[in-house]
Amino acid sequence: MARVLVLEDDADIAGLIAHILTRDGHLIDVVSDGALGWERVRRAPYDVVIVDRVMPGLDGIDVVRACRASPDLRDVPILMLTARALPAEVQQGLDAGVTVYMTKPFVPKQLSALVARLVAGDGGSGTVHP
Amino acid sequence: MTSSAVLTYRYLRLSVVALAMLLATAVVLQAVDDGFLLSSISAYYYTPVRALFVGTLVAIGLALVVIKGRDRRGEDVLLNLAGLLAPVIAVVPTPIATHDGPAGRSSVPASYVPGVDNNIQALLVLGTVVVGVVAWSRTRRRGPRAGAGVGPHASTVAELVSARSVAPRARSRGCSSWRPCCSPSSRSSGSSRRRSSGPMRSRPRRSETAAAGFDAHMTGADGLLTKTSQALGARIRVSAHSAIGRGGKMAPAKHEHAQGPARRPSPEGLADAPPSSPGDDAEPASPPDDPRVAAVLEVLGGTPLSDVATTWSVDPTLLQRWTTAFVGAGTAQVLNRPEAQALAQRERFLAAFAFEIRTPLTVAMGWSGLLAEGDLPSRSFLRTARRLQETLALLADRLVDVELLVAAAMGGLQVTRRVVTAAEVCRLPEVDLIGGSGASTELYVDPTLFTRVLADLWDAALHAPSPHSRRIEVVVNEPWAEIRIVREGGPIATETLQAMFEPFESDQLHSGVSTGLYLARALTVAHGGTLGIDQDDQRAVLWVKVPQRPDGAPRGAPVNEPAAAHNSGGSPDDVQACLR
Repeated sequence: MARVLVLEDDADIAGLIAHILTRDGHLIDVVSDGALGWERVRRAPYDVVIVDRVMPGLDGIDVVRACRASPDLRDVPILMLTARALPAEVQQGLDAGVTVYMTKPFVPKQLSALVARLVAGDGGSGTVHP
Repeated sequence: MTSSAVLTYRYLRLSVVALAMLLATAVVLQAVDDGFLLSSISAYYYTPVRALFVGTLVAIGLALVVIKGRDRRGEDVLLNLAGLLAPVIAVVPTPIATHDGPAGRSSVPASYVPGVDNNIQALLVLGTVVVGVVAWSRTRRRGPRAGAGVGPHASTVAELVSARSVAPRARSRGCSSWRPCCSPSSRSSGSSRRRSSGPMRSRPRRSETAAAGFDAHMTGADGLLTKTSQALGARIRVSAHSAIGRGGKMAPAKHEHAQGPARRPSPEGLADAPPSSPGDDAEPASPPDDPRVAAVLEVLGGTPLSDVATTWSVDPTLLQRWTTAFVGAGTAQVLNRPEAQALAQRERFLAAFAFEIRTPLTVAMGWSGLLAEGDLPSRSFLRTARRLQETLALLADRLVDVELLVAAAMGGLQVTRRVVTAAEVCRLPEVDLIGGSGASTELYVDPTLFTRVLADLWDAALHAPSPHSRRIEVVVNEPWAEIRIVREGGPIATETLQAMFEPFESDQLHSGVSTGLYLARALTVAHGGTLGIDQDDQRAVLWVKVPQRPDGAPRGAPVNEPAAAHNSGGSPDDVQACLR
């Protein structure tokens, strides 16, 4: 069981992710605002952070950069789960420091397997496309 | 002539009066000092008035040369002559009685002679240069008409380069108002509105600078669609909003009485003309039946753009944009290669569209995946089925968006206008009262498509910062009907405004900006109207204007396509009826 923070402003998708990961036995916190999410991740330790790219408050890329600039959060696995799929956008995410850049849409099994790998520490880095 | 050109002309004439008053004031002050008046104004050259005397006369001379005067025989020649002589009077002082001159005779004092020599020589040199440039310019202008040389192309390229170079500067202005410069302006004064042919001749009062900047670089919705339709060989139709004047008139002003309305297509004629038949392409020699194309061809034929703009009563910036689009699309056809800018816009549009469908697709795939995996408890089946249904409906909406956009670009959008009440098309959530002239106000629109336009505007008014309130008003200002979504609250960021209208002009896609307003604009253009936003610190007004119904149009019955009547629904099925 791992603690997973989900930063996602779309309630339908946040609910879907929460359902999948709760079913997998993880503890889930969902925040719909980037700035609030950054505050949350700074104060509480999480095993995995799943972050959307486009969010109100603070952009997902900025959240990742802030995490990587923080000594305590430099190594936390970050999964960017986004609908932004242009090559330049993917590269920007990887450059910012995301562990895995995954584009929507996805199937539940895919997400479950990926989070399990990140929790186990063998998620590596790269991109996952549907 | 544009309002800015008229203002420049007026200010120029006023400046002549102001300069004369300035000189008169200086003379009066000097006379008061001296206690007497000199025999002529020229004699004040030798007094402390000299600086203003020379300066004002040179400036007045320049203004007189620039002013063309009325179209009376010889008036411009006389003005030019006066303008050329004024500096001479300024720098060659009147002779006066001097100690060093011949006894009993007046002359210019010796100490002033070198200055006079210098000034006269300078005037002669400048005059020679100006005459040479004018002669060269006239020769060059005549050349293309004779069909010789590459003059017209060089001229056009220079104008196009100029148009492109304007774009960054225009964009850098903090635009808080977005409207095409030639949008129909119900705010024009009564007299000027009556005199003008509508948007072709008058700019909106509000935010004139922002509007000009917008048009200088505007290649947004209608720009892309126009380019696309041109590149695909379709008629130029969907950018009609900017071209349509009052009653859709656009024709050379000088032909107004001589040729009557025959060359003046109506809004319906511009917006709803059937697409060209394949046979049309086989008649290259036939004159263009679209006045915009005719104007562009005149520019490409070598006539100075400003002259064509004046002849056709169209804003020069708009004409420049048409010319740029025309050349770009033509080049793409000849080279069999899409224009780079249009290609980039198309790619950005596809990226934005893909972004919009990925979200509902994610929900649909996710929940259907959970169903397939058998991990959902049976009590969740119904809720999941509803989620899937909603998501699929959303996807269907997105597909309709694209179908409508493509149809608009290809000239295949069928706008079936009929007279409906505002209440029939303003069916928006949270709206129980329609202000202004009220819910019973009659509009002449395609109810299905126009309902969609208003819904998109209503949603756009929700952009951050969240408004305190939204309301809807209808204003009829013949010949236009304007529907306004009034948003009370902080101003929407300038870059968001830009992205709302030109979401595919930049590589940076903005958060929260969808294809909605882009589509709304295309649909409005197809109605022969336009839309935009005006805002200040307290409120924003998102407005859409469409032509009022023609006299005698029966209420309720479809006017354009009697067989294609459909309900004012807005569902995908209804919208399908608008696609050919």
